[in-house]
Amino acid sequence: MTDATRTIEEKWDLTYRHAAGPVVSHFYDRLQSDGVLVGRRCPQCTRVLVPPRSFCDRCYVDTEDWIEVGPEGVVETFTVVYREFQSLPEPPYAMAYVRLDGADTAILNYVRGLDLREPVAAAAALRPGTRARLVVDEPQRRQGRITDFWFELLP
Amino acid sequence: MSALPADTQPCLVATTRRGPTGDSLEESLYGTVRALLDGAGLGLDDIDHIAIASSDGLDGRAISSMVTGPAVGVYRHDTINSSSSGEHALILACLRIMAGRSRTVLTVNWGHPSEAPVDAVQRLELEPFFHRGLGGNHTVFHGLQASAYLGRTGLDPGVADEVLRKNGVAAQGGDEVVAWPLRARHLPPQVDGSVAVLVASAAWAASRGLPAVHVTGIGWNTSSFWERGAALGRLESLAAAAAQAYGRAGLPDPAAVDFVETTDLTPFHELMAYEALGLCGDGEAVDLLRSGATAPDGATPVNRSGGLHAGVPPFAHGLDRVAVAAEALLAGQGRRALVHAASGLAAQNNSVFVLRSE
Repeated sequence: MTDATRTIEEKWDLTYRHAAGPVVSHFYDRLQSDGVLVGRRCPQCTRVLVPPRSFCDRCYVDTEDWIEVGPEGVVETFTVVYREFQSLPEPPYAMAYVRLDGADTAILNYVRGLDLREPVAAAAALRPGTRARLVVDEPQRRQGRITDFWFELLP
Repeated sequence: MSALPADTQPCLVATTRRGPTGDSLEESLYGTVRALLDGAGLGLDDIDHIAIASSDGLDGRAISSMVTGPAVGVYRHDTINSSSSGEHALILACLRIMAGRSRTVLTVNWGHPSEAPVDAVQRLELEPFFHRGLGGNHTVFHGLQASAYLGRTGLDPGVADEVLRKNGVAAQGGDEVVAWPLRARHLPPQVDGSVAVLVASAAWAASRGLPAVHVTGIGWNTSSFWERGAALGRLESLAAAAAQAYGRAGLPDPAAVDFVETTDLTPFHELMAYEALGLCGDGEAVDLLRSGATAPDGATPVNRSGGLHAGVPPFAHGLDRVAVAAEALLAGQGRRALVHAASGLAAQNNSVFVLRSE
């Protein structure tokens, strides 16, 4: 047998159409039409869950009320990505879990409007506890997707 | 569990760990299992059950166990597949022994990242409504975890290099920041490889004259996918898994074991594991590290094997950690060991094994 072994390359192009269900659909309806983020309250632990879920996985009961949250909040954790990865944005970019005012859980998104050239300085600016605000894209540009909004740090 | 009858006491009696071979995945797996059987002087007829852990996404094969199964000997064997992690396959193997359903269970797990678009596969692990549209992979989420840990403890990111120096692993990456606070040298190498572990009852091992490492305690637990943010800086499900395992093993003081192997996805994860395993108090991991207690010559060495930076295939981290610990115990390097296995996008699945050699 030969010492030089082959590799067989193949590429898949798969398209999924995930059913979002009524709660996720309402979240994106409100984001797209009103430019606001809403969460669901668990009647048992009373936490406001953002992103919203139709059930509380801690209490395992239906969530009930819709609560508008934000537009300001606090950075709970963050990272700044400097390496290029397949299927991810062109670096550098900052991502943070932000707990919006009125919510009990944090939601992930990009943090924009920040100088990311110096990692140490960027990390200092983004440190947990930093206040941030929700920024929603222009109405005509919204698609009812997670990328319709992002965060910016408050001065 | 520490006082099970010999015919239902799970033991680790043989292991094989192999790195890249240049073969196809199937050929590589065949070679790994063949080596285990030959090394232990066993044949396939000695195996009652086979527990596989395979990742369809990483393997590029669905259902991977259907096409890789023949390579690990499933022909005419009772078999089960875990798609979550190798440690879960090991737990299933132990449960088979404990239930008296099998005397021997071959457990096999692997990862061949060289064949796969790893970042794209890991992006598929994100739920599709609020995360996948942003993108992310294990490295990005490990960066979020490490930042949450630093935010909780107020530590300087440079503490990661202290962990690497303690583990005696040469920096394999440079100073490049990959995903803050993770620099290239903080990330374990991505290598191809496979792990096989033969689990048997203590009675069967004794009947064959095989040395045995008893699994005296097992615990596993899962964190919420949704409760991230600051919660990422604490391995909550590891603490719960550890409590289960210690209770079953009758282990009141985890620091009393001879050594610990953890799944150090990054150096920050090793520090988080100190706290969750109860080797120190909350927020005291750096004090434990700097005391020298977890150094190779310390009172409770952690990752004296070098941990994941020694080169461990992804998706096989957990079973590899167990195999490394079993090999050390079989070689007489201690009598009791603690193993921490982690899997998932942000280490939300955690398992703990308490091992004791005879």
